[in-house]
Amino acid sequence: MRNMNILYVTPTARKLILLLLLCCSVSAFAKERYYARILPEGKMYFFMPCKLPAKAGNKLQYDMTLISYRDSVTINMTLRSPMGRVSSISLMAGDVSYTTKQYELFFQEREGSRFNTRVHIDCPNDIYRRLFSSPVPLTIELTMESGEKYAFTYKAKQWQRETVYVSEVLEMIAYSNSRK
Amino acid sequence: MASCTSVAPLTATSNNVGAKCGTATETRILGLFPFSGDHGINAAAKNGGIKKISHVDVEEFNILYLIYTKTTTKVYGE
Repeated sequence: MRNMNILYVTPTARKLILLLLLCCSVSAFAKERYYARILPEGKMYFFMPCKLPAKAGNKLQYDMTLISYRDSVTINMTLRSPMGRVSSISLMAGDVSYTTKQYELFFQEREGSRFNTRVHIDCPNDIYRRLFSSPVPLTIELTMESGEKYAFTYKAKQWQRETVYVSEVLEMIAYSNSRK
Repeated sequence: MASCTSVAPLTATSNNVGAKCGTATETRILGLFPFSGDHGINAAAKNGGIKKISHVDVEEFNILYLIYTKTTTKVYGE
């Protein structure tokens, strides 16, 4: 009976412990959106893969690599959709847009009932900066050779957080470049 | 601690440090049930379009040790 009293946790304490666990978990999820690495000629900032909201079973996951001495940002993306060939890729936010047909295909492979198509594009730095300064969330649109279009847009809150991270990385790159 | 993240080196090669990074992630619940599958070096290199690997790091994130585990392999190279 005495031992059971030692193990007894009051409902308030239980709620506090649960809250603490949740806070720790949420804070751990929130950090490390990007990583910095030192390269022989500068710095690399890698943004971890980000999933954009799915529509009708199609998905888009993409990551970004910013390199301090390059004039473009590397964007790799995986489209999960029915089989098809990508014709062009557009990035749009407010009145800024960038469309390219110059992409590199990493692979296309089946996963379950759909296909994962992973492609790579380079987005010029000035356009990238303007895209991520826009208050309107970014939309990534992939147009297939069949004419079908897959568009994925950030949620408003997700976009707000992302623009903060991107602007701080751009600021760090500008600072390190100014000290060369 | 309720949750923690650790990053550890897995391997390094004599190739030059490249400007590409690829990741592959696996998540598990209770240490048993994988949500999504492959966190191998090959998958990460494929995702980053990396043909020459310079080094590999592994990041582990868990909540209450085995309740939720997320393992991410990061491959760097060119």
